[in-house]
Amino acid sequence: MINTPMSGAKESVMSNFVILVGGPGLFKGCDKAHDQTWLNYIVPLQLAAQRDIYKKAKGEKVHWVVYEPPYIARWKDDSVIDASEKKQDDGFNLHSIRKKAADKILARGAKSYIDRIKQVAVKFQITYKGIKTPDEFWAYLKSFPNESISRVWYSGHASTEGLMLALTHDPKSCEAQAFQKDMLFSTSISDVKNASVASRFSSKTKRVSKFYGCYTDKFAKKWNAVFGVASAGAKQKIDFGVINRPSNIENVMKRIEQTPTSHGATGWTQF
Amino acid sequence: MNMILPFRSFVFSTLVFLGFSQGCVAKPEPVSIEPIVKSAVSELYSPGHSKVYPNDQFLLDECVKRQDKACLESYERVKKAKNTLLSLPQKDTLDSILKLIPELCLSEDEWVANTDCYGAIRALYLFNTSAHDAQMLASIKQYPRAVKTILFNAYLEWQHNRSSSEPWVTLLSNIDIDWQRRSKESVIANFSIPKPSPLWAK
Repeated sequence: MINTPMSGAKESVMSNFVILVGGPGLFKGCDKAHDQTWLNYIVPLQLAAQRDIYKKAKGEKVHWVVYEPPYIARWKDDSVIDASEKKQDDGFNLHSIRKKAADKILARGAKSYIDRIKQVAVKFQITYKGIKTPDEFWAYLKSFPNESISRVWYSGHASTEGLMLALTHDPKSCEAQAFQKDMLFSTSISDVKNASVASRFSSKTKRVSKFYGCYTDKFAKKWNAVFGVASAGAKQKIDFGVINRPSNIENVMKRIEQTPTSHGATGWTQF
Repeated sequence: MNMILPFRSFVFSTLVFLGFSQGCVAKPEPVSIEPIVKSAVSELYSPGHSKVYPNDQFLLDECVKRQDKACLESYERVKKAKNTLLSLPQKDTLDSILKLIPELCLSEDEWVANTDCYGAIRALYLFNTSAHDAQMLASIKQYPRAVKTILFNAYLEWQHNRSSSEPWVTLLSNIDIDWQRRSKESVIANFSIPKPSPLWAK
């Protein structure tokens, strides 16, 4: 069941909980710090759905807005090992591990990573919306009726300047970067073009908009200032990998918020 | 026979050398700064777009404290590029950047179009006198529509560091471009709102 916001409205949905999902970069042996697996930004959200961590209010509908280009690129890269890759060191490049991840998707009856995310969304009655540009996220928010959004979350890469919906690597230095076209800049929050988004939020909402990404505190602060809703983000780096490690914090989203990384405390802050 | 050929080469080389050193001293060719500028602007993309570049003083201090190699290297690369641009003759450097912008932004090379192009646009921040503004306006007015669209839709600081907003507001009020990502009103406002210097420009 893949709905549009308006079809959701017809079903008397009282409020909409929108989660923007960024994507991984291609796996690069020279950058073992990022995206060894394609699943980083989806699994926490899947577990949150499975374990009722969303704590949905009655009538609250969850939407996954998935930035598709990086998932398409990653599927293409992981699912086929070409002749030149076969000559490379497998351990350094993780070809067989990535191929295994892709084969697992096919074994589950999905055709690609995106198809698998759609399967999971259907299983948990989540509305799936695929987008190709960051601006489509704003368009999606604007497509909801006034007073109908309860909260917005983000899961993915970020920098102090904004959300990085996809990642790429400098061919010379291997520095992990995002193209401008793949970024949702914090300055876009206050662009008059997006001013109407404020009216889409429920004025009665007490729910917190949360931005799961490194250095998202500035983004969250601006979100709070412009849209007038409670928002939270990290001052420092966060690590999505903590969901796979032993921890006293059972709630996986809280674990991401609170577990220190190699850079120290995450500095998770609410505005 | 085998010995004669190297000997002939030696004699020829010696004569050529003597000829040049005694009477035919060539004037040094003027060195083009364009390759230097091109290389420098390509390094200016990282701020704001990188997972490792420290975007503010707090992150730089953390970087130094941890002696984070990747972070410090990224910071140094950008600093060196900025200093290179500032060490060259300003008018010629700006002229070179203005020529590079259409070339890089319309490049068919995906990496160049998506990073080097923005590094060149970012570099405009460093040139903020009224003469620089006049130089920029003269070139930008001649850019193809597609380049103007990229230039004014880019999320970069150069718009906040102009000597006067007036000529820019006049230009933008009548400009025919595609406002893909930003509203015309917000971009026009940027030219009147100075912002503190970003770390990369300090």
